[in-house]
Amino acid sequence: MYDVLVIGGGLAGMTAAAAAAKTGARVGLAGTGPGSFALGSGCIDFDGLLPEGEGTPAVKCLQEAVDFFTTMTAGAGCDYRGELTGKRMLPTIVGTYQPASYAPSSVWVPDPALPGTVAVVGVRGLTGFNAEFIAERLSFQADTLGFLTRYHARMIELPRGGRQSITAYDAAVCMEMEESRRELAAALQPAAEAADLVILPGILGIKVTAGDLGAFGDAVGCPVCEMATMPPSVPGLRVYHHLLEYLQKTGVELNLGHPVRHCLLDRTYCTAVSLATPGRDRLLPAKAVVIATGQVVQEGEPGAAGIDLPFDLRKDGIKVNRQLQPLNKEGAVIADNVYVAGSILGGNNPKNGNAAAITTGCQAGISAAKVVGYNAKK
Amino acid sequence: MRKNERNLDNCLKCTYCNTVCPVLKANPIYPGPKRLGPELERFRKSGVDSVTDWVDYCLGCGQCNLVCPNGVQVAELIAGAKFNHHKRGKRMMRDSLLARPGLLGRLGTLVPPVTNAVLGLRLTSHLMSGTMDISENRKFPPYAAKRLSSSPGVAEGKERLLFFPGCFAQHNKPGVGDAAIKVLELFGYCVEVARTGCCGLPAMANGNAKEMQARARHNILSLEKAIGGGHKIVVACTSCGHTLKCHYPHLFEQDKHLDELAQQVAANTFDLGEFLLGLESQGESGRRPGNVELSLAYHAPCHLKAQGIGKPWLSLLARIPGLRVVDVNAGCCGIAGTYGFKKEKYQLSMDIGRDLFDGLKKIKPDVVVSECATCQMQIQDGTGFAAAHPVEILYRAFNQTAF
Amino acid sequence: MERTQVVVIGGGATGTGILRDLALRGVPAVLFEQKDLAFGTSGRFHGLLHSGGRYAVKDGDAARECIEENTILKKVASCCIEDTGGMFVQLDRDDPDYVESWLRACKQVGIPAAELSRREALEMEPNLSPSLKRAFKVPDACIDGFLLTLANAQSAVEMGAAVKTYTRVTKIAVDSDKVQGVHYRDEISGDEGFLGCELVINAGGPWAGEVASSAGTNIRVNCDRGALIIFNHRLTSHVVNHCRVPGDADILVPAGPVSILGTTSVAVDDPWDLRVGAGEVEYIVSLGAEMVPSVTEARIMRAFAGIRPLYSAEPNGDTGGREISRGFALIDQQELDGTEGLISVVGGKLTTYRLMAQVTTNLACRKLGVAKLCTTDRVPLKVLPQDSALAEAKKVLSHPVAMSTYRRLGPGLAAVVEKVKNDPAQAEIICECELITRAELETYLSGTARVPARTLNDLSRRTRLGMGPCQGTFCGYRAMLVGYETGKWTADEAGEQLVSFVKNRWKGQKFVPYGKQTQQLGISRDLYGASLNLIEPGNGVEK
Repeated sequence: MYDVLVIGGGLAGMTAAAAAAKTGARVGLAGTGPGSFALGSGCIDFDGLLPEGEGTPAVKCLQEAVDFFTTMTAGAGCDYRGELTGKRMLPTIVGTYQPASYAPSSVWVPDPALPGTVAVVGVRGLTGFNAEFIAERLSFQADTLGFLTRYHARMIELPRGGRQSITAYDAAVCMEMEESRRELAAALQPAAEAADLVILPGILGIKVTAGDLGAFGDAVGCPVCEMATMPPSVPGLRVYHHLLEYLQKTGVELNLGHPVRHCLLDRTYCTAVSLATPGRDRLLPAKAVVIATGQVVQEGEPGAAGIDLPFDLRKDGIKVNRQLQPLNKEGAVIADNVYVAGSILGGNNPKNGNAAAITTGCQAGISAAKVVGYNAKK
Repeated sequence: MRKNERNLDNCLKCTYCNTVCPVLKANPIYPGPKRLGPELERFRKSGVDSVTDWVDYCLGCGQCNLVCPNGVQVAELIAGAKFNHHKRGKRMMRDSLLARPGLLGRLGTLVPPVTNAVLGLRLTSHLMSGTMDISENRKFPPYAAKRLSSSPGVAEGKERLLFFPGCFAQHNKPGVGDAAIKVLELFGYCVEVARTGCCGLPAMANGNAKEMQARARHNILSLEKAIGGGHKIVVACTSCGHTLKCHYPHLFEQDKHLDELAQQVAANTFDLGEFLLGLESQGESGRRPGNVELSLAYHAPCHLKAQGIGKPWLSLLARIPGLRVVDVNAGCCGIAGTYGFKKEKYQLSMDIGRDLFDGLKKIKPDVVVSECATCQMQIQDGTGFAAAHPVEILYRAFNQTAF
Repeated sequence: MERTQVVVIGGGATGTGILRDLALRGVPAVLFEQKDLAFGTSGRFHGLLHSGGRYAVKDGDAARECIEENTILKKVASCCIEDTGGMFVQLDRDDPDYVESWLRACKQVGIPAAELSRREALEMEPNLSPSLKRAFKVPDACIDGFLLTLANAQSAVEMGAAVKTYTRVTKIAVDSDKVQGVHYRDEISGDEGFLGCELVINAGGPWAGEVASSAGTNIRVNCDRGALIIFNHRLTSHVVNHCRVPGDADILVPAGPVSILGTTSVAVDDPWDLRVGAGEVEYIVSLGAEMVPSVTEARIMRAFAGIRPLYSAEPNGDTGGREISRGFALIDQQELDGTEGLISVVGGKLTTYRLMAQVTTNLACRKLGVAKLCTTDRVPLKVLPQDSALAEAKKVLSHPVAMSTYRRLGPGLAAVVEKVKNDPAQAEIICECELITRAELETYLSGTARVPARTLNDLSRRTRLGMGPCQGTFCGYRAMLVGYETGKWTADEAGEQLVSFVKNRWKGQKFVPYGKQTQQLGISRDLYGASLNLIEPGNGVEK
């Protein structure tokens, strides 16, 4: 019997699970897939969510949630940098800037508005990344925006095992090994000499820790940062991998790979969740449930794990009260021990989706643990 | 619309399945599950000849299914492609034999000492390598003719469990079967050894749909009476268990009776660890396990993960005083049943298992436990550590017999 | 290039068919197309090469034209045709008398319609409705409008013709009742000019009226819009027609890896009105489900609309031209109002494009005093390569890639194989959904291509780039890089190409109101809207 069961293993779900686990509750997580992690680098933008702005349901203590998240990721070995009210312009592979309040340190760059020389380094034979294209576009963008950083392109060779083309993922598998990273660092030194920052495609390995990346940067001799590539994007997957490991270490029981078929409701109380496992469904009893199933789901429309909700979830999302409990059409709470977090909530906007995910995830996890009798420790 | 078509439609091309494929990690030239599964399936459906020898390199581990955010049964799509992939020459003959471990087992246990002696000869390995591309680096597990016996109470018509032995317990290591039966008896159950044969997975893995259906048909008909009586089926090998739960329900879409039976078999199949843990949680306790002073490493087979039942043996072993257990948690062992016996796949198989071997060497356990017989073989080949089924440890704890 | 003999306006099947026919007869000609080949109706139809069965009862002449052209095209245009065969199916609630009259009509017109037993039909097509009563096999087939138009254009260019895409004829210069030439403007480069000619052939399809008015003349073209939906995978291996009075959404066509269901009929004023109306998708699905119930579950990738250009005669009954058949009209401006040197061909269906081109070119040649006869019914568009070419391809490309490339390129496969042999990096798969190599994309982007692709959307039409389940989400970016790396576009131009391509891909998906594609679109929006911050994602599904 879990105290809290979280449905959905994306950013919102994992944050909720971690928050609940911190209170001492026994937590389980059921989910499939990495959510939006594979699409980017796990950047978080609070634009539109800060108390002065409009957006998703008002969330108390944004800063507390963010602090929880940054502490968690640091503990997991994939630390984040940034500020709640800040905005750092992160360069992308199409030569634009993606604004972020927080981002994993591996993709964090110095402020491009300040003067600087950046070497965008491509790898010969690596598909989906053209350093010249990126450097040219960024330089133009920087110029238009009045930024003082300038970009130029460099190309390096890496052993490709006789293959003509490799993907960023293939390269990342290679880079799990320290010797490969050392070779790469050596290959980057010439570019590093003439630059304040070296930008690489996201290839530095999925299992590597912040410590490994730090050592890598030292070996190169100048700050290095990665860019998220087309999916499967390694920087995002790295965060996912580390968070999964972290959850396991803090005692969260992972049940990954089979979707939730439904939440069993006894009037306004959810008693258990059933997983669609082979042969027969597996019942996971729980005292409280957090639903964070996201936008990409198993069957048909985005669903709330089988809870019958009278809304067009695709267009409107789930309606909740301030406590993040799901409401029916009349505005009554559907279940007292169920909370909702993440992009499945009404008003979700892809630009600040990750920010909403961590803040609602944190709140939902704490609330779910509280309803079972575990209070958040300060 | 057939399930396969619905399945294919779910793919959103996120490519996440590729990031957990053990083959792709070890060999980047492998097209990957996304390409071999949903991508090529669209072309196969449109009549473009999309045969590629690469489908033969799929391990069938099912990890791709587990990470798909959208429920695409990638592994099944590739398995379907394997059925249409035809081999020639010595590999065809080899795969034909390897698809039938039940038959090989019955032949091998006619006169086991002779079989084992012959299999042990270097000449035999050499011949098998030359004529059938079977890797000389692999030793076939010795055969043993001891038959497993049902509990005495079965004859008296008592309430019972069906034990599905599978090929390994039936033909190679009956001790595992014995231990499983005895442990269940200690929990108060009458155990009947099911008169089933090979579960059919090796046939499926070797691309032989007909043989697989034949094995499955034989098995579910043998189990029909038991199912009708509401008895549960317990399986010690996670690959057999996965096959019964996951594949049997999809084999007989054309035959209503068999289809229904297959669904019932799947719904009544329990992994041994799953079953025992279920008893524990219901408060049923067998005898209290005695002390076992051993340091173990536990390896979760891929087919266990695919069943979605967690890792029940970790919880069960934790209750044994004196036992130290570490979950090595290092991915696929690489042997994938008959796959790793093939010459062209041997090195790949060992490369895939490298992380596991390294992980085990760091732990330096007395014994490595894993529910899958071929995982045990791979671990022994790759590290030299002794390997066993966790039920053998549990039995020892209950019996304090020498292990 | 200041003078030619004939100017053809319109790069659809008819226009390119005419260009090729002229070239075969040795007449120098230049074709102007305001966008890209098959941008108009030829790229927005059902993909069906009619057997004529659909028209047998109501319009025997049109049906006869169809079956004759069907037979001819299967010989000369086999590179663009997949001979899937077709079926007419009678369901439980259908009128059996209609079926009998249909059979009689087919016999009369010469359309083979052999009855299949119910069991046979269901074996051939397991997805057919269980309410199937009778089924008849007909020689329907699938024809690729993009490949067809391209093949005609390429063939014409090989024989000396010229094709100018993205070049609009801004004015047809008429002096003393005689056409002098055309003013044109290239909308990508901005180049403008004047090309003198003796004869202008207006094959503008839905825009034929606009073209005519640029000469100061008037022909009335009624625009009738039809919507179609594309399913992610092939639901049937034959064309399936509902055997009843022709109506909406009663044809399901297997086209390459997909199935196309349609269509509808809505009168519109504007030839640019290519929207799919609200509710049309659900409507089409509900009707299609009668024949093939699984359309309600199958993933819809995209919905699109095409305009049928219907000629309507002047109200006073004076057509001003001969209606060759009720299918299409050939209008000689000289007969209508005395203007010399302008002929227009309006209406018709893609199945009869060659016939329309023949009739038009015959008239053109008569006017020009060229005494050559039409040979397009005999000379194949492309000579398909030997099996050895395919074997060569399989040495350097994986089997499925070789087959899929062969299906699209036919004889062009050799050029791709050559490129890969010289540089193995050319085998890189850019579009994974459709298995398109870098080499294939480069052959179309290259300046030496007969009709080069000038935009990413053009590449899409040439190769099916972005037409698979991911709808360009992942391959668009890689394809853009190919364009950049070959020097086709500067970095900024390439960026603009990507934006335009992705937006175009979003358009068709936005019309899909439910199902997995909405999630695919969501991913694309997250990616390009948020992660890459390239395009404004917008909120939710636009209606």
